[in-house]
Amino acid sequence: MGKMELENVSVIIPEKASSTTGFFTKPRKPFKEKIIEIILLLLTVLSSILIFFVMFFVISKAIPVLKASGFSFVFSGGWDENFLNAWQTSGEQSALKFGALPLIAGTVLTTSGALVFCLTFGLGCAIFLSEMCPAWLRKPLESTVRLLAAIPSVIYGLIGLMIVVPFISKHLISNELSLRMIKICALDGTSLLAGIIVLSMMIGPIFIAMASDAIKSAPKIYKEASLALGLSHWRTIVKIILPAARNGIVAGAILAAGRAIGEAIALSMVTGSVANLPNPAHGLVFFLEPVRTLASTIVDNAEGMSVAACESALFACGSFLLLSCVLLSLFSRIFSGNLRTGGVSDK
Amino acid sequence: MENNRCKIKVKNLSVWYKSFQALREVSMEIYPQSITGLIGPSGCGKSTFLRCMNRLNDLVASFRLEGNIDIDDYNIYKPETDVVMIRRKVGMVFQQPNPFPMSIFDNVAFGVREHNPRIKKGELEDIVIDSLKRANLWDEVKDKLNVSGLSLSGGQQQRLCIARVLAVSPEIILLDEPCSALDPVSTAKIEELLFHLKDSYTVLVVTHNLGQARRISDYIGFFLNGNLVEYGKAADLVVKPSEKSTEDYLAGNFG
Amino acid sequence: MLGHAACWLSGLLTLFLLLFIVIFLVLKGIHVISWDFIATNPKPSLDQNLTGGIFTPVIGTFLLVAMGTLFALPWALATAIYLAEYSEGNLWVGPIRTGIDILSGVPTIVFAIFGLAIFTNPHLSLFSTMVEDVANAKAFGRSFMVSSITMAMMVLPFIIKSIEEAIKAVPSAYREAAYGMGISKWRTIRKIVLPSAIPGIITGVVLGIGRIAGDTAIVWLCLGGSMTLTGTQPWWQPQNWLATLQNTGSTLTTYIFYSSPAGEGNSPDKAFGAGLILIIIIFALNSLVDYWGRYRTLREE
Ligand SMILES: Nc1ncnc2c1ncn2[C@@H]1O[C@H](COP(=O)(O)OP(=O)(O)OP(=O)(O)O)[C@@H](O)[C@H]1O
Ligand SMILES: [Mg+2]
Repeated sequence: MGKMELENVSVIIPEKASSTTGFFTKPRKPFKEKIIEIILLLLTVLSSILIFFVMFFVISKAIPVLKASGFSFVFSGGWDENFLNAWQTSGEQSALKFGALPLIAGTVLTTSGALVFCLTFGLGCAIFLSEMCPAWLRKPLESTVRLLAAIPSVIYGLIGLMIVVPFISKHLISNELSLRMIKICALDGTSLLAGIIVLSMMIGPIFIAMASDAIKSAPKIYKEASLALGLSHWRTIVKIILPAARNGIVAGAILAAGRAIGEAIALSMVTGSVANLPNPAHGLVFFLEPVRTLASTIVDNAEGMSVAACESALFACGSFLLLSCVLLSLFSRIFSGNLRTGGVSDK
Repeated sequence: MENNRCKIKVKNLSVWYKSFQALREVSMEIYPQSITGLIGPSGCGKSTFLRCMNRLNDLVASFRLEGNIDIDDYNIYKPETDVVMIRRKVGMVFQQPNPFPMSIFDNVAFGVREHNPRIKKGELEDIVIDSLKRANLWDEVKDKLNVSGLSLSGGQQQRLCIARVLAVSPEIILLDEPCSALDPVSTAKIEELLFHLKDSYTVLVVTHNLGQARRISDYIGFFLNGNLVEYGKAADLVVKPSEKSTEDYLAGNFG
Repeated sequence: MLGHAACWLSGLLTLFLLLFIVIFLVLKGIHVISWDFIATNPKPSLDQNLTGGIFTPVIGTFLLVAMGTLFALPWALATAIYLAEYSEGNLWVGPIRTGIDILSGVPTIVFAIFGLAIFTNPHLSLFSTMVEDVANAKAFGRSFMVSSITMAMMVLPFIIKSIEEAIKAVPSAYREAAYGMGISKWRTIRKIVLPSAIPGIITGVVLGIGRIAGDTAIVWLCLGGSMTLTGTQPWWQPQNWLATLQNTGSTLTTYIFYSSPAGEGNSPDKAFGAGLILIIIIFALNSLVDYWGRYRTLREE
């Protein structure tokens, strides 16, 4: 009997409760919750379509110049004259033709030069940090990498301009050399080389951080197995650890490349701000010639934006930048997708 | 027991991780052409002991060691020792099968190539085939040598790891719970394999499976809280242990 | 062995690079730093000694950081909450994440021309009084508001990411306990999840602040090259605050750019002084994040 009663009680009480309080609150609460969820969803969608809005806007602004220039935007030079022309004529139809070859070349050259440094010194440092570093040095080195990555680009630019550029002009450029080149471009130290060095200092730490993470997360069991087989530490790193960390390293390099392509201020300070196409026929002087990247062009020519033709030309630079960075982001997603498994895949 | 010279001679081995002492004054002589089983409850220091034999513990920053380990009368913890040479002599098989993410052939060939980069192709193939045969794996994989080692079953992977060790012709083989991740059939295959191996190698096996220890070992060492409590011929130790704690453990009174 | 040596060398090189940068900045910058330097406005002058200090750039940096965070935080918080707590079962969440991910790879200079072009539209003159100035051919929609909105877009993906991680790190047992007591989802998030995630949220915000304080491209384009605050003076009186935000100024980064030999100010010593102060701010922010991180792991242990 007692059991019966207990059962009855336990059934009735919740029903009672929900019928008294639930009558008023039940319909209202989910409604409020629903509204909140919808607001959150809207803001979320807004954050993610922002990129499409930016892309749409930048590319649509770029279209007049891209249309008028066609392929010659990529394959011909003369940016500085084009720009001056467009500025002075205030954008007649003829002034919409631009040639950005030197800018694209400048971007590609500085970025790939910096990547070369990353994949040598940067990778070396990442290996050192994650495999060889004595315990007492690890924390300081990790902080160093993080702080270097946090230094604003304008400071790298300042240091490049005050140290690297004078060094190049004093020690690498002789008077005869600059006289010989005077017809082509002024050699004053602001150069492709300076750009590469400054850019390497900037993106190196970003790469080191990602690469050493990848190396650290390479499965320990492989390392132990390889060492137990009697391989030296170095051979284990080369044959087992780096291959296992490959995807993370590639993702880091892609991320670093994206940062390098988009860097504007520091490069505008140290590369000479001349839309010059360095000529490989000059031998090593190639690296001492001034260049300008797509991104630093936007900074240098920003005042031109009040003329429609110039504005469109700058947006054309911007859309090239934007598209390459979007592609790099998508690309690095492919590689970092495997990161969680330590970059190991069945081949 | 004393009829042949010992292969590994451990004397007063004490090990610390930071301030925690994992091994206490362990002394032990390990004989060639035999299987020595190491048993004891979890955390008693069996793996630590094993990993001292090939100096894999050097990887642990907080690791500290006192005492001697002589292999063929050579103290492997002498400062001028080349650890790489030690590890070539002392092969190791881990608890979790860990073939490299490469083909079956390359897994076995890997160490050989590294030790002898100019080896002829035919020679290398001979070694790989021979090792796979000795590891009782050849019949199962001979048609798919170019398939990833990771695509094999757990038991096959473990035998692949054994083949990988055999290929570099060590003298001593350490196995740390080689069967704990395997099913009974695979376990039986490995046990059979170990039994054949002892003719040519000195084998040390850590195991949690007392039945296995009884079946395969010639000698058994029982560890407890970092101490080597008892060590002797497998038959004697199992039948009438001289220590109370060994008896309790064998009777299943420990975790 | 050669490889070992090369790796050691690159590791030490990295260490020395930081030491070098810091020492160089300190040596070059320390002697211009004084109370006067921090508390006077920049003045245009050919004589470097007469170019004044960095008062308005410092104010500008703080203004921009505050406003940028103000715009970005609620937005990022909402997105992160949605992604971490509500997105389950939403098929669109993959593309949404991709969009946010791509956004984090967009160069700041692209945000900069984007922002500048958008806000130069006369209909948006609410954000920048410069646009009203039609007579001037070079009327760009520049102002603190414009640049902080642009900054907010730039830091948004980074803040979202760290907040989402913080929210996901809150043990699900907390949530289950709250649901078990019949507390609604939103109240659980507000009362249980967010408070536990606060250290992570702060980390995200501080990282965002570092990015805003360190960026130059957006400031140079969207705030312009005038070193002093151009709103109605005196800017510190409350009735002029809105005008200040609708007008232009500078930050430490643009001050450095402007004063370096690459800019027009040509007072490199002052640039080093400002650089030193900026680096101190950035490093302090980083140590703060570090401290929070360590504090959190300590507490968890
Ligand atoms: N790398 C390490 N750092 C610190 N302590 C460790 C480390 N490795 C092992 N230990 C400690 O040393 C003791 C012995 O560990 P060991 O791995 O040798 O035990 P085991 O006998 O192999 O146990 P199991 O049967 O569970 O594998 C344990 O208490 C363990 O916590
Ligand atoms: Mg063990």
